[in-house]
Amino acid sequence: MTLEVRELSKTYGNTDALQAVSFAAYPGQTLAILGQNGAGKSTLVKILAGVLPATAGSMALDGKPMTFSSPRDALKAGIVLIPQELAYLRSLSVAENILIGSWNGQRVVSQRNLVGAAAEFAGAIGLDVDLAAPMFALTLAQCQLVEIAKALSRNARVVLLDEPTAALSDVEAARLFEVLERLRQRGVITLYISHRLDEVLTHTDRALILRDGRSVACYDTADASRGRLIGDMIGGSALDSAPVTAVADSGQPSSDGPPAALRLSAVSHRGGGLADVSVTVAAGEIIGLFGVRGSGHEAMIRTLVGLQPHDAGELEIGGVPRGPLRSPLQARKAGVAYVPGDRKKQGLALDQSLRQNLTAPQLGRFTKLGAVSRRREQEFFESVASRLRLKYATSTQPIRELSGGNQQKILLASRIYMQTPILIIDEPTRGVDVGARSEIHALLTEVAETGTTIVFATSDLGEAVSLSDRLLVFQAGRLVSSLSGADKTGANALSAAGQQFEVR
Amino acid sequence: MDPIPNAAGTKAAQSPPAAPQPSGVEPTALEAASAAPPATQPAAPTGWVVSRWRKSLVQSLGVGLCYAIVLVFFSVKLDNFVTTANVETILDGATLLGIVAVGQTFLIVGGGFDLSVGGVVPLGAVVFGTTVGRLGLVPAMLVTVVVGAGVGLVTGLIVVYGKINPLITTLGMLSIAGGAAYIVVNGQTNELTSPAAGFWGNSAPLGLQTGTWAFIGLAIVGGLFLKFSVYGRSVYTIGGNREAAELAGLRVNAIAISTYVLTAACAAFGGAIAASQLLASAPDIGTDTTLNSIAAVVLGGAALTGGVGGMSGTILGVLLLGTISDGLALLQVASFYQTVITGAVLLVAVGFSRARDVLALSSFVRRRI
Repeated sequence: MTLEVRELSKTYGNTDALQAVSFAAYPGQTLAILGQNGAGKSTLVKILAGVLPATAGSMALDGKPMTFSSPRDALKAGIVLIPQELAYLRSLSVAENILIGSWNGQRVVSQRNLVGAAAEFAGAIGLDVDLAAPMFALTLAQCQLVEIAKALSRNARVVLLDEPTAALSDVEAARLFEVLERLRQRGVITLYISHRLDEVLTHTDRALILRDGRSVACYDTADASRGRLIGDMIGGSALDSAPVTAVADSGQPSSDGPPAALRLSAVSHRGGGLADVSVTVAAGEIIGLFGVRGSGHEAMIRTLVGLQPHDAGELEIGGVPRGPLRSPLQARKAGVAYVPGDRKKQGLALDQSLRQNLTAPQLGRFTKLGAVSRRREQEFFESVASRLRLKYATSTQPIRELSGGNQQKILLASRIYMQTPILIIDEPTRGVDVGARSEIHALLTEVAETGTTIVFATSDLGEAVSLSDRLLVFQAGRLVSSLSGADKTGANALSAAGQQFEVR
Repeated sequence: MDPIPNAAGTKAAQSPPAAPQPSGVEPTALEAASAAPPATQPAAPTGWVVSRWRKSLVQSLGVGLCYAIVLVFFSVKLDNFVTTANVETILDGATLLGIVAVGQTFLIVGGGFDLSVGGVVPLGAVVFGTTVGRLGLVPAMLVTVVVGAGVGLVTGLIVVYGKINPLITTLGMLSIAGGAAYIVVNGQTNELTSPAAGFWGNSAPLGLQTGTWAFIGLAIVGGLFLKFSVYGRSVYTIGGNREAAELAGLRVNAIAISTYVLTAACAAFGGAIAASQLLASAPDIGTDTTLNSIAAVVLGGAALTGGVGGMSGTILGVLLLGTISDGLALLQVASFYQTVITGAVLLVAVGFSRARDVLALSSFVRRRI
């Protein structure tokens, strides 16, 4: 039973998300799929699971060609996707979740009968929980195991896991690998997306590396090293042992000159994934934050914008000591503007006009005799639009109709023109085409030159390196490395972000 | 509260048309641009213009066409429909619903809605009725509006800070306020005999009642306020995307609570006016305004999801409902049929708004492909 993928491609408009990717996987094999964000990993997995249709190419299991028009077709063929965001029925029992869809062929559902049937699958992977308990009583890691048991109950022959360990503790992850080992013994093919390279080296057989939608390499992990994997992922030369400076930036008090734009001393949040972060940022500096998911850079952003007030340490903005910021409104009053990472959900009112979205955060500045002046808003909009080279029809069209890049420009402009001394940006260019991306980078650099301090977090390594003056790398809630100048390379950043896994 | 450091200073220092520039981001470029037309050629707008045109067409078809059909129908059926006296009757009759709908518009545009108005209106009516004799007109109106605002404040606090679903909260407040109205007058209908009590029923210019002018004034002020004040525009932003508004640093909670206060205050005010026009305070005045006020706002093109709508649409919706009820009364159709017809009109209008969304979506998809 072999999974064969030939010349698989996926095109969105002008973007090639996946270009002629081919590989094969054999029974009992665990294949890691590696690559930077946007390399095409998730697209590949979604096509295999029938969630997305392929634009071209073919897939075959056991020599039988497969075409899926829905996830249901893929399930019938024995391919199961375990997504990052698990979808399960919270209030139903574990057994019901394991046997969902078939419920053991019963017409009248008997809980006892179900538990008995589910026990077989739970036992096969060593899942030791009360099968009659409701799903919400389980930990995230246990829920994941339930998903795997569910896959077994459906006679899965190929299991696709999208970053299964991202949210797990090390102990839980180790447990997951035991379960995957059992799957391997049953001859199941496992495809596995992960950013944790050490995990990949120890627990998988082969690695398929994607870059910009193409498969650039596929080799046995026994022959691989961290450096080789990183090199193939970012396309540069492999750098095996990158130096990792221990905690870097101690806030040096500037005896003369203007006060630091932003200073954090031992800022921590118990349970919020931020420990003892100290950093001093000068006015006009562009600071990049980087790390694997949940390693502390997101927590630092949340702290600075008032979404997760810190509970220890000190925060100083523009030389003024501030207590924990308890709301975005408070952060704004302290001089911090925030560009959220999820443009559509958190940034824009999609059905409202371009103009309204641009001016909404700062309407007060367009008033004349107490009324918001359409004319002044329009003038402002036009000046911004030409400055940012927006492509649009009229200022009153709903912003939903613009491309991602143009939407992002308006969102950024709505905050840049608030003229706060500090601008916090989560993912400056997510889902933005290459042209708009470089325009946005140029814009931000220019804004920083006027003295605005920019702090951004990104999952795009290239952006982290090229846009920042200084790159702060986080792991396990700590600031572990501060890279600047010649040290600020993708390999160093990745290596520092993954240090945790090398040590253990 | 301290001002936003940079912005305050710049704003004071600069004069219009200053789109205030961030200190140093090429001010020259910005000035040049505001003088000249945008450098970007609007990118082939035809597809968009067509979809926009079609959308607004369908939207105005919704209420406008309904209204036209209704007017034609009644004009043909009735000899006494198109008369000055009847137009006055329609306007006078629309006063209570109109005043409630003005408040409801703020709430629905902001992404909420208030079922409790059907309880606050009678509460306002009986509070006015029991106080006007002793206190006189103006103090009684003040007391009434404050009581209404208090109910709205409680609702707003529960919804915003208690994080209890607005449907449940306002349903609860509907019951509480409506019950309180019965308690205040012990379930009795009281005639208002004091000379001041009938003020809102007095005749005023153009043959309308004083109360009707109050409605017209409130609608105009409310409409301008919603459209042009920073507060009103923020209500649109919050309705459009509450999370985004919050992350942008808007006073989301304060504004959300204030819309409940505004709506309930309007409802109580409307109740007082109705009692004054009827010269009676009864605990069942305006209990039908819950459905009708929401219906009027939705008929006017607002979306219950928030962020869309406006006062002129609401007023059109109010007049449509008022015209239907007037015409049916002239046709001597029993009033309980009116409820059925109101419901049907609402569904037709919502159907139009759904059709609008579908059309908008299909044109969106077509452009993508």
